[in-house]
Parts: sequence; C-alpha cells; structure tokens
Amino acid sequence: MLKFLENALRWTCGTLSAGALFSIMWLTLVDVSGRKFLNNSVPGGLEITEILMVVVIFGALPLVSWRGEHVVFDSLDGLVPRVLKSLQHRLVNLVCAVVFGLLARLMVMRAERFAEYGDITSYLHIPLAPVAYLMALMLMVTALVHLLFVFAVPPSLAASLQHAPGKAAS
Amino acid sequence: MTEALLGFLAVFAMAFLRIPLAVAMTIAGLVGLGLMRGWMPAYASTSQVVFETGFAYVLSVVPLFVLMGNFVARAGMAQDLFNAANAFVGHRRGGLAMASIIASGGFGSICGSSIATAATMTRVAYPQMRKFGYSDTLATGAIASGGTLGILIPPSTILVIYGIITETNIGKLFIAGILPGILAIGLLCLAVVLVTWRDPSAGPPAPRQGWRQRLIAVRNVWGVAVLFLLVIGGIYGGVFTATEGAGVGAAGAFFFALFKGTLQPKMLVEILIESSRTTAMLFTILIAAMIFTNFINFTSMPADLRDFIVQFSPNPIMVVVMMMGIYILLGMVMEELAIVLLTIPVFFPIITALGFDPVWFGILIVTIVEIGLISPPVGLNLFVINALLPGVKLTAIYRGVWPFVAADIVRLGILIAFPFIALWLPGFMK
Repeated sequence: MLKFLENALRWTCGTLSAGALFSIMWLTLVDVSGRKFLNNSVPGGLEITEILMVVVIFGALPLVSWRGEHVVFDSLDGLVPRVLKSLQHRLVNLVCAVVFGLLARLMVMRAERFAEYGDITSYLHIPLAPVAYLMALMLMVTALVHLLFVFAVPPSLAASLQHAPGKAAS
Repeated sequence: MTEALLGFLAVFAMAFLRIPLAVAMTIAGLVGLGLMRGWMPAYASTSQVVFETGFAYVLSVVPLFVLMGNFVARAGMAQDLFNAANAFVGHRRGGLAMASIIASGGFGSICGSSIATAATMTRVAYPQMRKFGYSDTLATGAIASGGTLGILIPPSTILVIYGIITETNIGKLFIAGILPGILAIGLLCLAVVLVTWRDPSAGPPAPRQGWRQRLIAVRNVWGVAVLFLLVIGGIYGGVFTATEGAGVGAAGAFFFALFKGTLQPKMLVEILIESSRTTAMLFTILIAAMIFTNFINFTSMPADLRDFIVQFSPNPIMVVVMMMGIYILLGMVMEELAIVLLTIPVFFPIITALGFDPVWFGILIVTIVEIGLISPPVGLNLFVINALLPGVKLTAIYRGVWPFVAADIVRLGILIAFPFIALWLPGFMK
C-alpha cells in the first residue's frame, strides 16, 4: 500500500515538478540567448518561469515529506529510547500535518481574495487565483502525507539510523 | 526583546523534539505575530510570504544551480579534475590528498554544493588514495574539507540563500568567493604537508608523471573551464544576472553530460526529481525563516541588540570575532543552513550598522558554514563520507579532519583581518 502511494506520488508530483524544472532551464536558456544575440526575449518568459517555480517547489514538497528530507535537529536521536521513538515520530508528523494543513487553508483564503479582486499577472494576464489554489492543493497533499505517517511507519524511519544525505543544500 | 527571546526558545524547544526546523519556525513566527499583532494580520502576512517566495522569478536561481551541480556530479568531470591535479602534485608526499583538495576546488567552480562535491570526490579520490597506501584519516579529512570548497568557490547555494535573505547582490557574493577559495586550497594543502611531515607513512608519494601526461590530463578538464568561464565569467562581466547564469550553467552542464554519454533518460528524470526535491526542501525552510523573521523584525530585538552593541563596543571587529566564535560553537552541534537562517535576522542589522560590507560578511558566513560542515560531532560532510565508505569508522574520520578544521579557522582569521581578499574582485563590478 505504501509502495503504491509512493509510486503514485512519484509519478504525479515527481514528474510534474521535474518537467517544470526542465522547462525553466530551457526557458531561461532561450530567453537569455534571445536577448543577447537577437535582441528579443521570450515574451512573458519571466511570468511563465514564476508559475513553473511554483510547480517545482510545491510539487516536490510532498516527496520531501514522504522521504523525511526536511532539515531536522537529530543530534539527540541517540538519547531517545527506542520505545519512545515511534511515539515521537507520530507526534511530530501530527504537528507537521496541522501546520501544512493550516498553510493550505491560508493559501485557499489568498486564492479566494485573488479571485474576488480578479488579480492577474501584468504581461500575460494570467489569473493568480489558480496559482494560489495549486499551492494550497500541494500543501494539502503534504499535510495528508504527514497525517498518513501518524498512523503508518514512514519508509524513512526504517533507515533513520543512517544519516540520509538528503540535505544537499550545504 | 522578551517576545523575540521567547520565540527563539520556542524554536529550539520544538527543534529538540525533532519537529522539522521549517515547521518549528513557521509555528513560532505565526503564533508570535498572531499574539502581537492579531491573528488576521498574522495569517495575511504569512500567506503573503508563502505566495511571494514561491512565485518569484529571481529565486529560480536556486533550482537552476542545484540542477547544474547534479548534472556535473554525474558527468565524470570530477575524475578528469582529479587526474589533472594528480599529474602535477601526486608524486609529492601527501600529493594525492592535495590533488583531491585541488580537484574539489575545481569541481566547486561548477558545483554549488558541499555535500555533492564531497560525495563525488569520495568516489573518485578515495580508491586512488587507498591504492597508494594513504591512511584513512588523511584521505577522508582531505575529501571532507575539500568538499566544502563547493560552497565557497562560486556558484554556491549558501551564498545564494544568504543573498536572498539579506538582499545582497548574488553576483558580487559569487565573485567575492574566488580569492578566498584559492586561499582555502592553499591552506588545506599546507595542512596536508604538515600531517605528512609528522607522519610520512600517512601519505606516501605516487609515481611522478611526465609533462606529456600532464598536458593531456589538463586538456581533459576543458569542460570545467568552459562552464566556469561561461557562467561565472558571464556574471562577472555583467553579461548575465546570477539567475540567467544559473540557467545557462544548468543547460551547459546538461549538454556536457549528454555528450559524455552519461545521461540516460531514466537518469535524467532521476536528476530532475532529485533537484526538485532539494529545491522544495530549501524553499520550505527559506519560507519558514522569512515567516519567523517577520515576527522577529516586529519585535524590538534586532534594534535593541544593534543599539546595545554599537553603543558598547569600542572595537567593531571584536563584535565580528565574537559572532564567529558563537557560530563555530553552534556549528559543532547544529545543521549549518538552520544556523544561518536563524541568526541572520539578528546579526545582519548589527553588521551593517557597524559599517561592515555585507558581501564580506557573506564570505565569513560561508567560511563558518564550511567549518560547521566538517567539525565533529555534527558535520554533514563527515556523515556523507561515512555513508559512502562503510569500511571507514566515523571515529577515524573525526580524527583525520582536525588539521583541516584548524586550517579553516586560520583562513577565517585571515579573511577577518584582510577584508580586501574577499572584496577586491567584486570591487570591479558595476
């Protein structure tokens, strides 16, 4: 069941954000070369990039939560007795679910405001409400992932004894 | 002041309970702002931060540099770099360790991540050092410390994030990292010399290579040189903004990996998803830090602290030295990105109020992060190497890294004492 959900997330959210990222790369390349060599940039390229950025960030967020790749302070892990570990993980996931759920709710409110005022981007006149709704949807999926791990054992917990090099930032 | 302190305490308390730092900062920022300004304004400003950070053209610099790093990590460039450096210094005592440091520096000029650099060099350099009888302590120490050059020598994820939260010019920050990066290579190699001088058996010399072999080896790194000149040269020369440079760099690295034949479709999807995940993880904590900063800035803490320090410090540079001391201690036990995001809202106003250059401070921050990445017990680079080399004990890695930590601290002192090392090159930019 977990395996199925993981694959489902990978094939929906994963490919979606991967495609968006690849598109940003091409768009930037074409935009820059057009401007430097042909004095002609992609019309509205900037706004398309902005929307694709939303897809990359929020699309991949459920995967980050699924794999437990958020930055955590894990120096105390050795001190927590094994019995309490499972309880700790459930509680932490519950807190995460509530916070991401709240953020999703806030983004719905913002989307409703955008829709009400008819806010659009300045060049391509793309309405902003669907963008905010997309953020809300992805935040909700992320909240659901955490909610699931309140009840099920996340795959990352099984490997938690190993330090996952997922924090590729630094 | 009290509110802000309580906020920080709350973040630390939640983090200790293993709540992800991003979530902890969001809770503290949202609740703090809600209690001080009312809940509706707190909700509104939070959702505004989420939307505006997610929907921002300039910030596409982050995923594009991450993507570029992931492409070059798979393109076999690290091996070429190591061969080239090895051809020149491999015959010296500790030469292979030096070669891995120099190659890491070269790799850092096209990759903006310390972890990726350390992981890639581990696969390339460790087997060689092992073959020539290097001690595990020296080999892993050199790779771990060399890996941190990934974030000092441009491009650099940490500098991008510092630039975003402090609104400092990312292009200037990048260029400022070049000379300190070269200094770092020198000092780390010096550390190798000292280690092998005390214990010659730790790094026996490899056979000397002739000039013909050296030229061939150098010719093979043309790809790295082209990418670096294109991206960083373009940013320096004002041809690109950092964001545009990132896009060109990612595309360049993509083509390079494609021509090298290391990029199957399945691998491409894998790299893209991995880069997206890293981006999502970075933005989550970035957005959370901004929510938290909103709250901190609403309290009187940054101003109070700034006034207090500016009033009572006869010697501004001592303030910087003290901050660095705090960072080194924090860096031993905490995740470095988290430290930077948590402390910048408080420290940065002090630095600018004392009249220091934000670009220079950015380079100091990266240096601090580098030290944190390799200082035991909590150093991500050490864990990465440990995960890749199951045969080497973590305690051996801990033991081997100390001379290099010392070299980094010496470099930090030099950079504090001589700001022009960082500021000279960016001074020529518009």
